[in-house]
Amino acid sequence: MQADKYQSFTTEDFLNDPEFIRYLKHGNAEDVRFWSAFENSATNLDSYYAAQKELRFIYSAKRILMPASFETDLLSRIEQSVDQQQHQLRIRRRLYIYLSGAAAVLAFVLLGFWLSTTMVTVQTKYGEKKNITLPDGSIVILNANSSITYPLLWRINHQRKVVLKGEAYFKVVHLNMDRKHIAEKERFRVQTQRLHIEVLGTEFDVKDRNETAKISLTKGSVSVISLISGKHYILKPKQMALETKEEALKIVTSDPAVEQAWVDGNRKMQKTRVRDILQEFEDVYGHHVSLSDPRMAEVQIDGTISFNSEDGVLFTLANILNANVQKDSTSIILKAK
Amino acid sequence: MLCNLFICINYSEHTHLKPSGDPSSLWLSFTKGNREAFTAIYSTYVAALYEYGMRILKDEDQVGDCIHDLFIKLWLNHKTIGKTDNIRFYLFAALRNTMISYKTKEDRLLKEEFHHPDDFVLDFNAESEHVKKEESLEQSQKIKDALDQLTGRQKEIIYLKYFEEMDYEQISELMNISVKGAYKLSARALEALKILLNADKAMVIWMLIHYKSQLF
Repeated sequence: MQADKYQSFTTEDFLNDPEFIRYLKHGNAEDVRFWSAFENSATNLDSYYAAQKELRFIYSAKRILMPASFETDLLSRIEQSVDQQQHQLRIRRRLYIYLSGAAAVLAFVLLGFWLSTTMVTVQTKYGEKKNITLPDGSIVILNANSSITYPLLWRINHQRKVVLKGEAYFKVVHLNMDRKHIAEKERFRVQTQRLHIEVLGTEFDVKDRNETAKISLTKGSVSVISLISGKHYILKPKQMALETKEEALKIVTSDPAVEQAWVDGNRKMQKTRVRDILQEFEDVYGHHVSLSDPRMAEVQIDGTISFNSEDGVLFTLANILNANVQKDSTSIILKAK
Repeated sequence: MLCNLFICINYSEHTHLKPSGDPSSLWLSFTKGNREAFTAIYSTYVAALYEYGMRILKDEDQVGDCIHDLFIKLWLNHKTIGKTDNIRFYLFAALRNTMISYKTKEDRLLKEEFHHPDDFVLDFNAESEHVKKEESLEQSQKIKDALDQLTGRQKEIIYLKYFEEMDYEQISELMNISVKGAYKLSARALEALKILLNADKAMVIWMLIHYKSQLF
């Protein structure tokens, strides 16, 4: 503190000076020392004393003192309100946790439901053959231009069910433990447009294309129902159930070798008409073959034709029919020589 | 047994998070949600808030409600309250706002009416050096009334400046006037006070003469 500046102070200056105010309000030893010294050394103390008088008067004002009970009572009130707040906050937080937990559970349940309806589909293109292993270990060999669909959660659902479009060869794994009692969930089902097939463990070929639906059994036993005619049978090996547009489901004997030849990439003919071979060609490769002479369609063929390549089949047929293959971008014609 | 008691007491002192003394760290503790810091802030400033509140509202229950609402609001917002370098001023400003909301809600007073209360309480001690102790209570009261002729605003600025030791920026904010206005108000208040102080002596003599003749 500089004593010099105070020499020229007016009353108002003193009354605005923090140090002066502090001295008169608190009376600290240090301040008392300074101002006593100032009083002794200074010459003109009129404004100093006037200011002192005013300030002393101001500080004579009555204070409004807080009762102790006010402080404690109010504190209890405040603490109570704060506790209430904290309590509500805790409740809200707990509710939030429960709700989000419930929401998560709900999400999982919904996900589960959704997943249980999700299906897996495997599709083959024209000219493509595919081997598929199902979750239970059963093998499906899918012919060209065909598809199988089965539930994603196959294992959890314990439902072995496959929807087939086109042709596939099945090697179904046997799940049955007790031969005497066959449980629902151990059955293997194949569904096509026209046939409903149930097996236990067996090998069979299913074809549902164009105007024919047939299942030929290699091993084991199957039950088959026609969804069109309602007729049903239980097949034994070397039997085939066949339904056409004209005829309802009926049993015929079959040579599995013939029905399954496609698995090795061949087709076995037994007095098979060219017309049918060309239909098979279209089913597998997606191309229509026309004949220059319609009588060529009725020609019957015996033997095995390799179906591994389009041109291979056409070449073989052309040879048999003594015709030429005429191919352009839009059509294929077998032209008689 | 006494030993155990001693240990018990010591232990309980340390389980509480004792907030440290200085204001800025106390405030920081509070903003982090420390209940003890919150209570310490209350204990430190409640007396000053009580006095200021009473000088404006004059009703202890109302002052209690306002301080209660103020501290609850503080607690609710403790996370979002920023730093402050002057807790006292912050609380005074907050209390004033709380009182305004309280009065405008309760008494349907307009905000402007409350902003300039002309009845700020500041009673000067009539027993100044110029008043002899033999004066009767009635006369002292009359002198006191004569002396209390400052306006409410003038009394408030005197209180804030000299009792709460606030600076002009703080006063201007609290009283909702410009800093320049605060300087002027303060000057006027001190002028009025000076006049009254000097007139005091003359007035006492005059009153003594006047009332003495009336009573006797």
